[in-house]
Amino acid sequence: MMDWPAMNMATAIWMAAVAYASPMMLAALGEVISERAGVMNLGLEGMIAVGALVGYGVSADHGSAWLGLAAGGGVGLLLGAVHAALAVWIGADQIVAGLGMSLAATGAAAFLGPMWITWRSQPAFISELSASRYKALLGFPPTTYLALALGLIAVSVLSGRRLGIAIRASGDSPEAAEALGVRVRAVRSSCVLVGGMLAGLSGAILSLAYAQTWTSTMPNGMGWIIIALVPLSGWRPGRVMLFCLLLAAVNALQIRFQIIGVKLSASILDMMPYVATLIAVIAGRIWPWRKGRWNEPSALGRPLEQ
Amino acid sequence: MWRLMLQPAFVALLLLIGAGLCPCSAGAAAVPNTTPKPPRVGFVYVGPVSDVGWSWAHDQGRQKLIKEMGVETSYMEKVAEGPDAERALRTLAAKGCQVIFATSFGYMDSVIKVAKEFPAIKFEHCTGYKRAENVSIYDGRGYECWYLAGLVAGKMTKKNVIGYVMPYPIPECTRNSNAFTLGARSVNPRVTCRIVTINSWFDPVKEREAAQALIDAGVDVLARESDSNAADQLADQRGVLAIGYNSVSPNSPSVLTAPVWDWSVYYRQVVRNWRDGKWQSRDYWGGIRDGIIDLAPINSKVPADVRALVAAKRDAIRNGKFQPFGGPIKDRNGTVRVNAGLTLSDEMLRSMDWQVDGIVGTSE
Repeated sequence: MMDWPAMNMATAIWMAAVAYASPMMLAALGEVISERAGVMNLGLEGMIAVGALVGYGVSADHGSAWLGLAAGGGVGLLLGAVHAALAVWIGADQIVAGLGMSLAATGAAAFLGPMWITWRSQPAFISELSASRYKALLGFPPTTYLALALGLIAVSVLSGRRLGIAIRASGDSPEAAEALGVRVRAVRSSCVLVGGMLAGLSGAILSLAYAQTWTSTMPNGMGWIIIALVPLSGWRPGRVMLFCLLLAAVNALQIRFQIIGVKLSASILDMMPYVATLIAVIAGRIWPWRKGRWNEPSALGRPLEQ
Repeated sequence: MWRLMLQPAFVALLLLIGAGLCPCSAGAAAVPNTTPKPPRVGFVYVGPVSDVGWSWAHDQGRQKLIKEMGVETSYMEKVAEGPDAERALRTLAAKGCQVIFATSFGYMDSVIKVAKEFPAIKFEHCTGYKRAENVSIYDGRGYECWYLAGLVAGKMTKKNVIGYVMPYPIPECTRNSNAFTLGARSVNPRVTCRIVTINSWFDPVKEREAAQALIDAGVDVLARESDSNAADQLADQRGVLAIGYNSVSPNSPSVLTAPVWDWSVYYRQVVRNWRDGKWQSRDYWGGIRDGIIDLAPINSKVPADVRALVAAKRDAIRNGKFQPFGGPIKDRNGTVRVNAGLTLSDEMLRSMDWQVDGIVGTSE
């Protein structure tokens, strides 16, 4: 029954996984950075949705996918600024502010999208980001390398001396950090802004490079999965990227299993990251000696108190 | 805190609140002053009317009603199957629609439920199987054209592997994919057909992923029953051939042909019957013979002898001399489902839940 079809299946799965993981990784990095600084961004799903819409819409209006990517990042930055204003400066409840953002932004994208974007077959700008145009890139689109590069930067910044320590201190003990001269609100705001920008960019890559179209259901829960992956990864950028890749591979496998005749429920697979996160959260609480490795920012979700 | 936030049900609930319904309406110009008046007609679509697919095809029928018969119409697009469908049906009823067409299989239970609340309104449900005093069902024999498309695919495949993007594992889709495979194997017995089910009618992202997986698996003629042309586009990019559905984009080098609907054939009948006071609950299943479905003009890439073969089979189906599901037919486990000399009854066609020999892989 297991007949492996003509093309090298492993290669095909790897290519498909990397393609889906690229936008996911960017949004996940943004969430890690912002949570490391102590600010939860539950608006992620909405920010990705708006980034996807604006990225595609601007590309369609101006005929340039690169401009669309920039616009996606830009609108993410704006939404990040709104969240920073609410969560950092006003001291609003981060969960309420984030959920509000997510609902408003996904709703706005689904409402405005159909008025802006008409279903069109293969617009020319799409090919600007296609892998076949860049022979040197080993079959991956340029956006994949963009995601990887930003990932490396995030790892080095977070583990770095000055900036990394300031960010982690803002998330762990903001009052002490403030006393030592770290401008906690500024650090937190910057992290939320970067997180928003990465989420917007992630959305633009999702519509322009991965799906090559825009649909009102985008990103279809990707943001929530990422929010679940971040604690699972122990707030580590490298690890969260690995989890994204793993999840994308499972997604690619699920479709291909059908072709060779293996049954695997998509609903069960969709559940997995949430279940894994619940287990990890519980495990992190039950075994206190793991606390050193389970490095949840201790002031996550709490505004700076003066 | 995390534990509360991460409950998928909680998240799903919040997302649901975020989604909304947006009614659209398009009125007709002056209604001709002849007595009796045609009904006010409502349509519910599962996809966007711009999908160049299933919903678009039904909307073409609606536009013909406006143009040719001066009918006043309303429609709601992108209405999800489930509770949203009930709301959409009630909205159209409240707008004064006297006949309402619900154009997707998953609206079935909603139609039956809402029809009970509005006994004076006539409901028409497409592709379902539940009727009532004021609910008719209608469908087309799409499988006739999928068989013809299969002939093209079987002749044009070089690797003898064809593929099919299947929306849902329901009888309609099973029947169409079976007909497609039977057609291909009737001209090329070495053909196998691989299927991926995406559990959606319209989801360009999933359609593309499924098409990608099928092409990776060696498929060189790719068919899709889903509504967007995402798979056709990918076929263009990857240099394989494709069978479209509902419409053929004129610039696509890969699409060989497509089963295409003309729902106005039925919509005109319903409007006429209602106007003449002759509407009654019925079960309509039209085919090539009625003009409700046909095969789009075949791409010039396809050799003339293949086109002639398809034309001949089309005529045979139209004249009632040939039925795609004529025996002997074996299912994929080797069990004979139709004996030589027999054909499947409509009832068996409608409840089809088995796959023909030659289909490889699974569709749930």
